[in-house]
This record gives sequence, structure tokens and C-alpha cells, in this order.
Amino acid sequence: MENKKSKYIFIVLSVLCVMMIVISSVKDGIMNPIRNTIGYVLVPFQTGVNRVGFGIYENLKEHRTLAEVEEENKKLNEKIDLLTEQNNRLTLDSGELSRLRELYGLDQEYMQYEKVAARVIAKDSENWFQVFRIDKGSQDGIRVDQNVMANGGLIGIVTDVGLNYATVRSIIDDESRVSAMGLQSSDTCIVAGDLTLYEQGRLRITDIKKDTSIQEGDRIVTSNISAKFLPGILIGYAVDVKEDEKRLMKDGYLIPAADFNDLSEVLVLKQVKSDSFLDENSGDGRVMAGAGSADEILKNVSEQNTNITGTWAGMEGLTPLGEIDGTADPNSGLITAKDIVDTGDNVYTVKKADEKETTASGNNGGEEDDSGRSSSGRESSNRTRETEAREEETVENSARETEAPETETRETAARESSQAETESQTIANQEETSYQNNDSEEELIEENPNN
Amino acid sequence: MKSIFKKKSIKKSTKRRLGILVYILSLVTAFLIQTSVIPLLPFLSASPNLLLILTFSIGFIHGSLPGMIYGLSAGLLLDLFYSGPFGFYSLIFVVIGYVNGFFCNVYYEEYITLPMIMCVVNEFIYHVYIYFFRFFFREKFDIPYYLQHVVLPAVVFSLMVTLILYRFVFSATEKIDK
Repeated sequence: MENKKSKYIFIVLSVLCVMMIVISSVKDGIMNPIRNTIGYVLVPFQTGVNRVGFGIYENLKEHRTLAEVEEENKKLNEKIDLLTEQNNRLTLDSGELSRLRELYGLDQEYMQYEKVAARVIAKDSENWFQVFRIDKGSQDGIRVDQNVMANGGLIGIVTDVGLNYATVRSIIDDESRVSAMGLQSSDTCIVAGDLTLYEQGRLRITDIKKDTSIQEGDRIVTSNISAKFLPGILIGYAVDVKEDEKRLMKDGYLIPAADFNDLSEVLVLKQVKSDSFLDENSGDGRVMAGAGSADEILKNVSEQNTNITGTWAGMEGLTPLGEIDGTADPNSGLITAKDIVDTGDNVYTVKKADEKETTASGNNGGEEDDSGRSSSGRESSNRTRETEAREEETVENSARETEAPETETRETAARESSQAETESQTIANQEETSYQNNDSEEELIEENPNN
Repeated sequence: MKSIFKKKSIKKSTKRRLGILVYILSLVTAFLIQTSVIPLLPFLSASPNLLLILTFSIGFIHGSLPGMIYGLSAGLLLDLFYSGPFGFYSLIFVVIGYVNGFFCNVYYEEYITLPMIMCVVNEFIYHVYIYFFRFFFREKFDIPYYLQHVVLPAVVFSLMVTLILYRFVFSATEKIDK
């Protein structure tokens, strides 16, 4: 009986485990609530053990002899002299570098990324994987896919986040792949962790194109095309680059810049690479220091950006960057297939309601997007109602005319360049009343010669 | 005389509860030591798998069902904290707990070399399982390297710790069952 009962339970448990494996392989994050709860309870223990161990270790270190300390002091003084000299040289160089950067209009440098310091509290105990946990979590602003650095080099990437802990997969883990490039040549390659090279302290570099100039000792940094890693973070130095067996590509080994033996404190870069993909509107993909989310990035656009892109956008008839309301739906006033297909009362009532909405919102805010929407709303309603009675058109005309001065004041108030405001108003009013069927874009283009 | 009466009055249910409490405590402690203390010691190149040792010890001493349940909880703890699909470690721990339960009624539990053989066999199965599902499918066929550098140190360390832990589990069981 005992055996039968346990056999059934065994079958049930095995099936349950296999199902969990399948589900969690297919759908990420399904176990996160449970992970969070248990992590919340157990991580303080892990942190505590870690602190105690660290404290003991520090205590033991203090009991060294005076001779040792003096020797170390001497060595450190020599090092200080060396570093001071290096520092002086670098200060001169960095002055030149910032001038050159300004010249090129780049202000992207990974030192500007906001960082959070964290401590390693637990490691995967097997030698098969190189995964560790840090003691900061989502309540400290850690998110999945944030890069982790230590000792001046890339260490890993965050894979899992709980309330007060996060799991980081190190780049030397067998399953880790980093898209990288040589610093001097900007040729892309892939840096892969490999368990067989772990003892030698190396990683593999693969997929180097045959005619590139990556050489021994070249610095390898994360590339711009990486989907998860921020660009420009130092990974290590290339060694032993040679052609592979098929003679199609080159591959080699990489000695990492960071020291993996001794990981205790790491830095987590708060910027997530996918946030900068939302930053497309800013024209040159700039990363603003200290900006956390995409909304903040959009709102924190610098003056320089606005000026440059203001004239650029104005010339092409689009809304200047500084006036884009990130929360507004840019597609709301556009004509959809449904509008073209449906004619008749439904569309009229829908568009009228739409127009009323835009009028109301237009009365409230000074956003050029609204004016763009309302004008395009008018245009779309125009096109679909060409067969309607004239009464409706006159109603619409009067609505448009009352709207026109408002939109004009808003548009000119929003622009930062100097214009003769009254001139543009009267001219624009005349244009609007005369050209009823123009596109919203055409309207803006026609106004721009007034700038 | 009085002392004998007092001991006899300890009911079986409280004994069982005490046993369960001891095992839960050992589970959590082993997990904490295995993940927080041992990897951060700089002189150990591999770490003994304490949870695995506890699982098969309990499976061997108490039977299939307790072994399975203990294995499930140990596996769940490991799954919650580590990489890979959820349920990966749970499955292998449940299997190990169950299979070791078969030897419960067959062999004499105090014979010390048997746990050592079991330790080697169980560790081997465990590492082969990890290798097969996480490495073999990614076409990493360097088996001799893995055997020499990953499996062998782990087995040796676990063997050393089995001598201590198995004794601990055995004597704890005896004290509770008295």
C-alpha cells in the first residue's frame, strides 16, 4: 500500500515538474510572484550571512604584521606617483576629447549613465553556471536587462528581479552572448562565455569578419547594435585572433577586464537599452544622463536639440520636437480604412463627436499636436462629408472659423523663433478660409515661409 | 523512574512535528550555506551539494514519500533562485528522493559505505541530468573536460560532506524516534 501510494504521488509530482518546466520555458515570468515572496523572506538571511562573513573576513585581515603593512604602503606610494602622472596626461587628453566630441555633437559616454551599487550575496553553487544574486531589487529601481559592471569592465546582465533581490547572469556563463566590437575598428563580433575556457580565465570571440583589423591586445567594447547591452562598455582585450577552420571568419579569445574571482561589489547601470529605442524622435538617439523612463527622456530634451530639430522639423512640415506631447495619440485624427468604407450617418456622428472633442481639448492646452489633430480631423470630416447637406458644411465652417484664431495663437505661441505674429495670423486665417480641403501638412508648410 | 514516565508521555504527533521542524530547518540552513557561504569562500574550487545529500539521506532512511517531499521542497527552493526553466531542479530532486526510497527496506541503514556509494551515484545522475538538458542540446560535446573539471570536484567534495551529513540525519532520526 505504502509503495503504491508513493508511486502515484511520484508520478503526479513528476508530471507537475515537467509541466512547470514546459510552461516556464514558453512563458517567462510566470513564477515571479512566488519567486518574489520567497525571495523577500530568504534574501535578508542571505544578506545577513554575507555581511557576517564579510565582517569576519575584514577582521581577520586586520591582524597582519606591521612589516607587511609597511611594505604595502611603499608599494602604494609608488603606485600613487604613477597614477598621478597618468592622471595629468589623461586630464589633458580629456579636455581635447570633450572639445572634439562637441565638434561632432556627441555627448554620449557611458560614464554618464546613472549607476546603483550593489553587493553579491549568493552564487549558483554548481560549477555549471555563473549566475549570482545581488541585494538590490525592484524597490531600488533595478529592472530586467540592466547591465552590470565591476572593476571597470562588464560583468553581466540582470535576468530576474524581485522586490529586494536581483539575479545577474555573468558574461562568463556558458549561455551568455554579448554583441561587441573592437574599439578602434568598430568591427562587430560576438563575445561568448564558455565553460571550457573558464579555468583559463578567457571567453571566446566569434564571428569576426575576415577582413577586419581586430588584433592582439585590442580593446573590445559592447557594440551599438547590441539589443541588450549599452554601447561602449569595456569587456576585455582580444588575444589570439586567427582564422577559423573554415577560413570564412576569424575568431579568438578575450581576456575580460573585470576580475571575476573576487566579486563582492558591483555597479548596475540603470539605463536599459530598449528605452533608447523609444527615443527615436530626438533625431540622433541621444542618451540623457539621469533619465529613467522614455517619458522623461522625451521631456528632458535640451535646448540645443529643440533648436536643431525645430528648424529641421519645421522645414519638413512636422511638429517641432519641443512641442510634441508624448502622451497624445498621434494617430487619432487620421483617416482609416473604416472611414473610407463607411459613408453615411455613422461616420458623420463619429467625426462630429471627434471634432467636438478636439475643440474642447484645443481650448484647454497649447499643444501643436492638438491643432494638427483638429485640423486633420476637420479635413477628414470634410472628405467624407462631401455629399452631405450644405447646412452641415456651414455649421462646420463656422466651427472652423472659431477654431482658426485659437489654433493660430497656439501655434505661434508655441514656436520659439521670432515671427510677426499678427501678420502670420491674418495670412493663416485667409489661407484657411480659402483652402478648405488642404491637408494639415500643407497648411503648416504654407505657413512656414512666414518664419 | 519519573524520567522514564516523562519520556514515554511524549506523544507521537509532537515527535512527528518536531521531526518535520528539524527537517525544514535543515533544509533552509543547507540552502543558505550552499548558496551564500560556500561560493564566497575563496579557497574552494567546487562546492558540495548539501541539499542533494540531505535529500537522498532522507529518502534512504525514511522511505520514498518523505524523500520525495523533501526533494520537492529543496528543488523548489533552488528553482526559485537560479537560472533555467522553473521545475528543472524540482524534477531531479523528486526523482532522487523517490528512487532512494526503494533502498530503504532493502539495506541496513547503519552500514556507512553504502551512503558513500549512493552519494557518488546520485551526484553522477544529477550532473548528467544537468549536462544533458542544458549543455548537450546546445551542442557542447566536450565531455571529458566537463567530467574532469566540473563533475569530479563536485563528487569528491560531496563525498566528504556525506560522511558528516548522513551521520547527522541518521542520529537526528534516532533521537526523534526514541
